[in-house]
Amino acid sequence: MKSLGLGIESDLGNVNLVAVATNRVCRELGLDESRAGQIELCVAEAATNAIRHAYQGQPGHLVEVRLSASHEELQVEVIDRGTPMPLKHQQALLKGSKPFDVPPADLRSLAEGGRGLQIIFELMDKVSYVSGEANNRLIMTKRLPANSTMS
Amino acid sequence: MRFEERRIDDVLVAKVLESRISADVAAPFKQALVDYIINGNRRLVLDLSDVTFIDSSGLGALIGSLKAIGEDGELALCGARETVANMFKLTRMNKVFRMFSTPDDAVAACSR
Repeated sequence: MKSLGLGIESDLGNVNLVAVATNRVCRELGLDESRAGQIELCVAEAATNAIRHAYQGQPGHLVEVRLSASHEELQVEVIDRGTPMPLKHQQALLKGSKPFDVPPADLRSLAEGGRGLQIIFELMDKVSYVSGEANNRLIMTKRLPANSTMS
Repeated sequence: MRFEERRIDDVLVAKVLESRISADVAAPFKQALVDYIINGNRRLVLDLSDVTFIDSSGLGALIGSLKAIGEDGELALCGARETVANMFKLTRMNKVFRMFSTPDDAVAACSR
């Protein structure tokens, strides 16, 4: 098992740092560019949500990203100590809510936001959310292809 | 946000000079595109060839700009790399935006 912990202050300008670092670590672990890009995107979406919603956009709080890899899977946790995700959003994250169907014919009814959780749901193999006394953990798991280099 | 602009007939081609269109820059990115539209650019081609990453907030800014330009205007995209194109496919936004390989292809489609 290999593992790594990263932390940023709750400023959207910092999200790219953990996203890019995650991508680079994924490549080092043997994931191809496409999968590494998917995991980078999910980390960016989860960290952005933590800053915007758990911390209501307030600076000065910690957002952690913990990566751990075994032979079979990569687990990515995004952790905050702010307001837990509302149950409705937790359900959306765990079960999917708004599948990316054919877009509406009327452009005006096309939403500008609200795709982050569905992106995570679609790209990851398993997602869970644990809200405890100490923190909130969004746990995302991706199965690894046989040719990656975990040990 | 930095752009490199050139005009081909009545089409403004704006190349995004940032590598990432993410949540921290989504608002100024959308504002820059809306400013183009407010200033009378009704046919806009956005060259994404330097962009390596876009998140849902960046995508939202593009959707907002498409809505701002309306159905009598044109906002076409070109040069999307694989990771960016994959985001459009995942969210089905490849069915909403007109996407082309090169600026010339996009300009030709917008000029019609």
